[in-house]
Amino acid sequence: MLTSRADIVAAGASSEAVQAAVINTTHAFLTNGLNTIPFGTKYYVECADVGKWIGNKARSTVGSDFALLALKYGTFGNAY
Amino acid sequence: MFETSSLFIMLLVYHKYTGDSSYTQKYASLLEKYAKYLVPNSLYPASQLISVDAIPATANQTGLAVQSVIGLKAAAALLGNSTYSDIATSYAKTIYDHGLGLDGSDPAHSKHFTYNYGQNSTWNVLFPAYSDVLLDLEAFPLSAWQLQSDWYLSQIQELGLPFAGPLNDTDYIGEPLRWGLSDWSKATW
Repeated sequence: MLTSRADIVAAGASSEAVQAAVINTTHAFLTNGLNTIPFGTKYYVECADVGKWIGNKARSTVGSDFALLALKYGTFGNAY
Repeated sequence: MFETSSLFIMLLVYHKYTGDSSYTQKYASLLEKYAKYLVPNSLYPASQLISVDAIPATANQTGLAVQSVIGLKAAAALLGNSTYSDIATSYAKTIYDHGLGLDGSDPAHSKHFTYNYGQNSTWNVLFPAYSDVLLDLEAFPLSAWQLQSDWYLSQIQELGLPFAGPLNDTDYIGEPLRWGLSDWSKATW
């Protein structure tokens, strides 16, 4: 789990590092225990309310979680 | 504008993963009209919303111009019309190689794309890049996305990437923008 800036930056080639960092920071948000809504996508990432959910509940755009897999594997048929 | 380019991108993704070009063929004349709409409006987009409607409309949003260029490239592929591809390439040169959409005069002197042309401290999550990479459109060189990725690494916080910055810019929403949109962050490249 990436929790510090050094971890985030050290991950390697920058675009792969960004992808890993976004997934890991999203996971950190989802598991921070501050919110009681189904996966919301808009939340404070800095300042006093950091980690608090703002809006969107179980939004269909959570499908973008699969976006990075689509880059690698294409359709399900290719992944298996 | 955002919806028009998204339509071309979606149709091309559909074609890529199914091989089915029936929709493109059925609506070819309509799609030509949409492509012709993109041509004069893409490089200096008028004030309008993009998909992130939490931020009010402004003119010359770099991300919208980038998205439109990618949409034109997709249109060229769908319609078999290289005119749109040539136009897209020339717009991309202006935006990236000649620095219109960057914080410096050219890529070598820049750290990121801007949110609006000429607002050099501004930046945002450039989610249009995903479509260019997914579809191998090469609307922009990979070095453009690498530049932006490096910038994201310098801006990402412990719980995620802010959607736009800098933090002290209150022009976006009337107060510092302290939030991110995880669904858009995952479309970064």
